[in-house]
Amino acid sequence: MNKTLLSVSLSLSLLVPLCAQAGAKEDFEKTYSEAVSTNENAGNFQWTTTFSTLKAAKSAAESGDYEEANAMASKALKLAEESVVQRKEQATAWKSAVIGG
Amino acid sequence: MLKTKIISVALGVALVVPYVLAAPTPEEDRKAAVEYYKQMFPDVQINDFVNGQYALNEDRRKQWESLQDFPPYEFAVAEGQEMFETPFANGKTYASCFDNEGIGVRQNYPHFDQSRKEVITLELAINECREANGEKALRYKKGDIASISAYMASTSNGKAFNITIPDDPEAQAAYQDGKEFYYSRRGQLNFSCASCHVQNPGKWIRADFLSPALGQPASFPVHRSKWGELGTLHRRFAGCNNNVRAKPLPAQSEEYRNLEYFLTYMSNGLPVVGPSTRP
Repeated sequence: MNKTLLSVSLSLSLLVPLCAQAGAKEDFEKTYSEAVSTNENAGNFQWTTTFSTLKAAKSAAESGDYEEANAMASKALKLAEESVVQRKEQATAWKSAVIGG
Repeated sequence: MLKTKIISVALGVALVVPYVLAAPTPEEDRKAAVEYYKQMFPDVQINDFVNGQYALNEDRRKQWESLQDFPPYEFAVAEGQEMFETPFANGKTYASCFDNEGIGVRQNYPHFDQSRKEVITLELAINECREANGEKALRYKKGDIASISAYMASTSNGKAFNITIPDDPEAQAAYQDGKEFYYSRRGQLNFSCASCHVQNPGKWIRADFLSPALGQPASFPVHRSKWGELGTLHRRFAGCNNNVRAKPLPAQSEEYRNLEYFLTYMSNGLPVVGPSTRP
């Protein structure tokens, strides 16, 4: 009975970090995917820093560091969102800078 | 029914006409730009704007003038001439693809091809010539393309740019697209081309002395000290975009060709001086 209880406890304690890892991986894939599609939405207004941050996120994920990967993916998503805002604003804002405009 | 249709058409026209009338023509844009830079730099002769920062900064001009005895692009121009004159495998040369056999035509590029409905730059035309004659296209930013373009530019030295924008909606749209690109802020640093070359020419940004937009394309391709070689205008576009953390577009992409169309039209009447040197 004690041995059974010990085995179950040990198994559970090994499973918990694995579950956490699986959760972090899913979070990363979701955020990374959203960052990539948001970056595409920036069209010709994409930023080099978005691409380099996405690359860092992917690299961290490939080495198993999902904490870093998630942080980078979130940062890339924010950069991509800002570049989309820029694209939308510049659709009209550019006219105010024209010589003679 | 007919009454409804007439009202709809009238409303549509009423909405569009003021916008069309309000938008300046390319020639109005160009004249406004010339006047703007004349007022900003009253001591600069109009034709000297093609020399960029050397028209504005005396120290830089002295360094540039001393370089002109043995310009660093000399060998590249000679190589460009040799490539230009060497027949393709099929026996034809570049001369077969261009008006006047490609001599003294730089000032007419870029132009709008109304049948293809797109802007044709000199570098694009060079590669299309190659491919039409069974040769592989060259890469667009440096190397052989820059050398051939430099040779062709040298045969137009002193000729006034003569970019035309036909009375054609697609040509006008290409010009407007280039204009919009020029003035749109982009990149994480949120700079437009105009941020530097319209609003701040004559000032320093890091170690670069900013040149005015007027006359910029006239000196290309350029031998930049930073590159250690000749590079094309689209190489510079990509570099500038990268500097403000905007993802550069491919050389000879539609956007960059339209940008070149707008920028070169602004320099109409100014002389071809390419190739040239820059820091």
